[in-house]
Amino acid sequence: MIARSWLRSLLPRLGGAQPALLSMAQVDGPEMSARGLAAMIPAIFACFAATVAFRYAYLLPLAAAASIGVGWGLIILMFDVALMSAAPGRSRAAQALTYGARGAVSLLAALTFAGPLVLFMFGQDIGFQLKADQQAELAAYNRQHIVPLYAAPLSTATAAITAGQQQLAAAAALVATWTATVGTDQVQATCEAGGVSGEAGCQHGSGRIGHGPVYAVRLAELANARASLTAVRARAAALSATLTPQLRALRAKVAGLQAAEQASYQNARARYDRDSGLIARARALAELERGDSLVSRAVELLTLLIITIDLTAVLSRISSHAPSYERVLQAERRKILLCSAMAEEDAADRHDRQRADREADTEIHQAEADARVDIALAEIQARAAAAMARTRGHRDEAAGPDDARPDATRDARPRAYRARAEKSYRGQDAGAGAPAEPVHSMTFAEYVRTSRPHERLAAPMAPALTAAAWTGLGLTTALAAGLATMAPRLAGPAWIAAAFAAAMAGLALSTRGFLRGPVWAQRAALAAAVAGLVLPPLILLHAI
Amino acid sequence: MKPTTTVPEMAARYQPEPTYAGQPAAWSAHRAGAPDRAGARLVARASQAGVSIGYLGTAPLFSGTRAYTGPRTDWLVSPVTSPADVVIPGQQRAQMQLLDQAGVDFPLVYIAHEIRKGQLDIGQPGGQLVEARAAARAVGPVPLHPDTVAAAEQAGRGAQLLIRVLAKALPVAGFMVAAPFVLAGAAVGALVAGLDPVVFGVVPAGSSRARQWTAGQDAAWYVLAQWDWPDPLEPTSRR
Repeated sequence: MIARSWLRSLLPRLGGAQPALLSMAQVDGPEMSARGLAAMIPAIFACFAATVAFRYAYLLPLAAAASIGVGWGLIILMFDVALMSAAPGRSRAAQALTYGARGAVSLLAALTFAGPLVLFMFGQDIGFQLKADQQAELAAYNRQHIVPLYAAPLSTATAAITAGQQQLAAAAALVATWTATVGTDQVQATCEAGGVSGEAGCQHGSGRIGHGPVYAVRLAELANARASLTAVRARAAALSATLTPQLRALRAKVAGLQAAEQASYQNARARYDRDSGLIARARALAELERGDSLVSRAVELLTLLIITIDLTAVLSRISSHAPSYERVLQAERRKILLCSAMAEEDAADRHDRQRADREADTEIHQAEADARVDIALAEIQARAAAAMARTRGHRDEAAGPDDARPDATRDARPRAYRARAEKSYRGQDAGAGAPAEPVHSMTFAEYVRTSRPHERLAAPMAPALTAAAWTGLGLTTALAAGLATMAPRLAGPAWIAAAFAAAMAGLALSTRGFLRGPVWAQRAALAAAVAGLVLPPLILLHAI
Repeated sequence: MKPTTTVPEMAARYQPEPTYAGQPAAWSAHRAGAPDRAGARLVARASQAGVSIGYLGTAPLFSGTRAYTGPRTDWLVSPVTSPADVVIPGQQRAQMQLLDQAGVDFPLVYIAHEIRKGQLDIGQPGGQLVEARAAARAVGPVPLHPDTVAAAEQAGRGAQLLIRVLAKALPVAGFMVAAPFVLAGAAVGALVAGLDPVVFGVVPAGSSRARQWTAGQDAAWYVLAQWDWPDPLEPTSRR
């Protein structure tokens, strides 16, 4: 219950309302709460986006990323609350400046955070793409740098080993050949000594048993063969003694080179495996976008979504109206202004009153002095009159009592003056209406607020302009509809034509069907007519 | 202070110089011979805000529209209730906005329209009540601004040229007849060119919490703005 009441008072505050004033215009309470919600949504979203961006894209620890996110959300919240609290009656330029600044912040924030959010959304796909990129780049690096570095010495050493091995093999083969020759010659000598000829593997000999001349030849051949075998064996041993250490060294060198090559490869692999930063992932995302239109569309939509969510407060402030609350707010502002003005006037009044008091005191003193003089004069006159009366009394003892004419004359003048003054005060002799008749008029504030500049008075549009503008609007609308239905591949021009047609329709609405408008509307209608008649052929030419 | 002069008499004594667009007439707080201190203070406050207003003096309020005769033209004075009376030249409007922002407030606003002699039969020299319709007919419509008229004519000429070009290029476009454009409203508005309205701010005497004022009640009258309607058929560049 407490949480609900707290939320109920918080939302209007975030919507820029002062609770004391809102209580006087409760009918606008839901509107102000909606504004508060609209101010909260971008803040929450900004908090989430900044946290994700700093955690995933910039790889900060979660606590640090969340702190930055909360900070950014508070900044956006304060920005939007300031926007909501702005005075409603500001000039259009001030409003445009405020909303423009907020829109620019929104756009920049969207461009900053859209990338990291997209990276977060497509994290798995980006991971695969990143791995493939790393392998391809490692292979390229191996091919371009590691292999050329070790290929020449390895090839030289391997060739030397091969040559040495071939020499040793040739020597061994020669030894084997001479060993076989010695064996054959030994067999032939035995055949000749036994008188065996042409059979049992024996060559043609003398066929006589015993040690004859042929046998002596056979023995000589055997002795030569043994001598050759001995010589060949000696050469083979010498060659082996020479080549074996060299071959061992070469093999060791080859092994070392191969190990170094493998180490370089492993180092490069480790380096490429570590290359998973923001740039690498952004590159992988760009490759995914190139490869799949769905990804690029998702990126565009997400950017638009972020901009839209971020602009929720601005849109809400522009589209929503709280006339009662704004009226109360303006009245309060005016009241404060008037209070200060009245205080100023009161001070001036006090000053005037003090001056009047001083003047009155002076006049009183003067009056007292005048009165004393008058009294003295009256006393003198009375004494003179008494003396004259006494004289007349003595002279006219038989005369009757005096009438009261002078007193009547003295009283009649003030009565007539008072009657005329009262009549004048009622305004009767001024020719005004009946005294009790109420006077209705705008106040000065209302007059100023509802006033319209003479320069923006709407003038009738020329019939030719009306006809041209309507024709342009019709052509553009038809072109947009035709392109959208018959040529889906020309979606771009269709959108341009549709947007232009919508703008022209808005202009038609504001000018009551291209019939009346101020200076800007006249010029806009002419521009729209020209563009509406020229744009369709241009788009068609471009399409063809 | 008892009222001694009616507003029409005060306005009749006032002969404004022909001004337009930011040339307010030179009013003085003492011009009407009523150097009231509160009036002088209000004039001083307006002056601090950068706006020159004139204090006329005190006169009773009245309702409805009253007509009275002047030396060269006649006048119609009425409380501002009609939307037609809220059209003000930009510079005068800016001046009044400055006044409003400075906290200067007038509970009532009256407007005086100058009309040509003979438009209304005004029998009583001290002024007489006039029907609202007759008054509106005599005052006439607000003339268009010369720049607006010039822009409308220019746009009309542009559209005619466009249609002619189209008609030559595409004969089917000939259905749009490019007739010469005459701005009838501007011609009507030209009839009231040179006649100036005067806007009065009125502060009734005493305090009325209900903000209801009655005819005959004493009030202080101020001139807030005055201008001449320009001739709509004469562009400002040629004036």
